[in-house]
Amino acid sequence: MEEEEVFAQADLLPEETASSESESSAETQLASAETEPLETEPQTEPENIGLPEGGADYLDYVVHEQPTPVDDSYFEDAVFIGDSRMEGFRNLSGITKGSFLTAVGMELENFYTDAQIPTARGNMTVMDALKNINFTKIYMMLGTNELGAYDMDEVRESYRKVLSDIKTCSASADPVVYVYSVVYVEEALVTTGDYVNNANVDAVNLEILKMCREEGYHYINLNEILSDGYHSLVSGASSDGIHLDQPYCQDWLSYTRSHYVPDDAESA
Amino acid sequence: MKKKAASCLMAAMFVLSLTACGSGGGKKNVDMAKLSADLQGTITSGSLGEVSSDIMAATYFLDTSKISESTAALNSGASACEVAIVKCSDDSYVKEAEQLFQTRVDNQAALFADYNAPEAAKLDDAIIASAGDYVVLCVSDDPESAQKILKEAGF
Repeated sequence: MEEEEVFAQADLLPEETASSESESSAETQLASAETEPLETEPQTEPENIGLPEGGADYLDYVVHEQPTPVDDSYFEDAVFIGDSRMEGFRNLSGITKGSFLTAVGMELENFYTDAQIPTARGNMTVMDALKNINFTKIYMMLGTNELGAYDMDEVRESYRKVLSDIKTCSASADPVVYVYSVVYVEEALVTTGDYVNNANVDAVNLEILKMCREEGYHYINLNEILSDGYHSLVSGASSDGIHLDQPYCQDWLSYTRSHYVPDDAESA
Repeated sequence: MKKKAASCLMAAMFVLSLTACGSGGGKKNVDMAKLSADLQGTITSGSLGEVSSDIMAATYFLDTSKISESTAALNSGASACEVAIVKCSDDSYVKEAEQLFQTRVDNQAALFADYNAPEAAKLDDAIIASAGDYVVLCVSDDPESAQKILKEAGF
């Protein structure tokens, strides 16, 4: 299959516009979180915003903000893999570079078995689709469809295997692996099951943090900007409580541009 | 590379039972932005956003060299709803664009069937319509209203 059949290499959007809009929106959210009345015990350490309880132990593996954001050329050799939330990011963020392998319903359990990546000749598995992509960076977002898992240790082990196998398809012997946090949900809006709740989001994210520490992966804490400060998605970010509306996908992109591992740190 | 991809596509493609209703005949001018906005007005579940032409091409596997204008509004992942309109460079690509839209519908239906049955049902009512050099895909919460809009626009 031709590389162009499975992903977008978009080049047309005015990056500065998307970036400036999303930055201001992100600032607004943070300001809002700071001024809202306290409903529960607030997270007092700014660097811990959006992290699960115990997440502070893993700060060395949380990607920090860099003084200079990258432009989208940074994503030219990146593959973004994930579920419907990542698909929304692809569709609505304004990102202009990168390869996307996304599907509604993608989860660790069906990762190898389901033909779920659309092509012009029907759907194929992620692993098959990866064979046609040159990538040295991996941006991964799974976990939302695992929120009902009984055994979170098993989730971590499955995630570890999936990422290990993805790495074998990379053009680099040592690809950079970024793992996005599972974004909080707005529980009052969720209709897909009680298990889709923020306690479970925190539980999955703690497992992802553990995996990142064990494997040397880089955890991108999207909840730093998408949390209301109280372990929940900022109100108004999503019409169904799960999938993010366009301004918040733009914030996600802005955050990704400013949270990366500099080359010198990668080689250190 | 894209021409090769298109050839492979044609070879592998099933004979599709398109829901398209080709009006054909004569040169036609459609206000694509207005039509897209009107069709998006029939979508009430989740939010849509306009995507770049390259994201659009990668989503539908369109041969951009055969498209003179395009617009697409895709969703946040919350629903199957979307609107895509292309103006083909000439009418020889219309049939292929219709088939590519049908493939998109089929692919999405296969995914949503296991994940979200109500959204899969919307794909059963997906509209693929053409008029002149224009081809439209609309997956809507209100396909009857969408059909009406398209009819008024000459599809």
